[in-house]
Amino acid sequence: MIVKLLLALAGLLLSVAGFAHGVAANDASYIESLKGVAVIPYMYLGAKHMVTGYDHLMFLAGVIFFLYRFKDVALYVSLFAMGHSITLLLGVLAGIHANAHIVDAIIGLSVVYKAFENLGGFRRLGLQIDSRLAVFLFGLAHGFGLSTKLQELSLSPEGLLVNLIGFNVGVELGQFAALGMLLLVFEVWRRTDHFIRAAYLANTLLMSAGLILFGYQLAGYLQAA
Amino acid sequence: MSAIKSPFESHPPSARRLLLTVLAALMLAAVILLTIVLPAEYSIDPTGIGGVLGLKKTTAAEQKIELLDTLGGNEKIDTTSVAGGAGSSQPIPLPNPAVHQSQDSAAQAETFTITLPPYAQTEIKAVLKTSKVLMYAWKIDRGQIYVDFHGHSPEWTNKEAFVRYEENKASTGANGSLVAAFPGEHGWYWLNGNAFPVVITLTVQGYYDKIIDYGVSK
Repeated sequence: MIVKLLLALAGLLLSVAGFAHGVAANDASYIESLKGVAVIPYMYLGAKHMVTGYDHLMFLAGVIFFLYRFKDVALYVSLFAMGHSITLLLGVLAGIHANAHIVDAIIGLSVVYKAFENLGGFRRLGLQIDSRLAVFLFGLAHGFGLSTKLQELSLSPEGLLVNLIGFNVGVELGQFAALGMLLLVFEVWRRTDHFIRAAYLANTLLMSAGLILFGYQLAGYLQAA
Repeated sequence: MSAIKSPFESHPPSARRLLLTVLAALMLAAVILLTIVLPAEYSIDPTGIGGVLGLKKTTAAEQKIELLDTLGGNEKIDTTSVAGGAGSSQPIPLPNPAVHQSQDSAAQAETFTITLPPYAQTEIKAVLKTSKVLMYAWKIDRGQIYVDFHGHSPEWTNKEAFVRYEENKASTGANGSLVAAFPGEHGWYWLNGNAFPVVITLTVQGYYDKIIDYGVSK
């Protein structure tokens, strides 16, 4: 059962990895061709970005890994959404240009952080970190990633604010869709006999995946510099 | 403090186990980065394994270049992403591919010779659609001449376009090119202020619809 689930998860991750990161190239030229208010296309692209953005999905999976109660899921996901909405809107509107590689490297570290926390690492080290604050702060980083990628495109200033809000709403909708699938998988997975042992391994792999993302982006930054 | 109910938070792993876990994660990440991700993404292949796996240079690093996005002399710096960059065997896609236009037929070319008597005027116009290219060269046989190189909409009223490209009160000739910013007539008004006749030789080439010769008048 676990093996099957893991295989299914791996398949999902591999299939979305093909989209690479950010806004896919043909979507980019589509966005650039849009003039004026185009809420629905922007909303769709925001949702697509979230559903196919494996870095966001990994972080989200880490966040809800041990959240059993709907109330907790809602709280953490809202904090994450609040964080990335702020930086997405502010980043684009204020024209803050961050280095995409650095932002993505930080996003990789957010995955490492979450997996390490799930493994009880901070508890073992005797560190008390408010995970709600951490999720909010990393939400800011993820939003910065989105705004950096949007700013790489030459967006039409016409209707920019409305389009951005549409994009942001789409991101949230995509997050809901991804969250629904993740929660379903976790719900089934948690009922299996060896969940705790598998969970330890899964979080170790998640940490490793975060480190790979970090190294990948860092190399990209060094090469571009 | 924390609402997270990780079983590993209530019962954290031993320091030794945690250290081993982190080391294992680091090792795995390092191996995958060095043998797969970096060779495939950036052609960085310190172990040589990426090359053996055929992953090296599946994609070269993406570069950003800045180039002039020129259409009709409207110059705007635009950036574009290029896979591979300078060493690439692939050409660079322009941010604005409209700087190139394909045409249905070959360019036209004509030469006009106009003798302009003293104090006479004339006008020759090329009818161009938007973005169509005109190349021209004209000169006079002696003296200097007033010229107004301009363009306007075909059925022009006060509301429509009427623009000047270049005015010269004492010209001996000019060479150049024009990309029509709007559909209409684009060309030259000449006035001979000399007491002697002047012969204008004008050569036009380009993707114009037709040339209108308004004839000589006093």
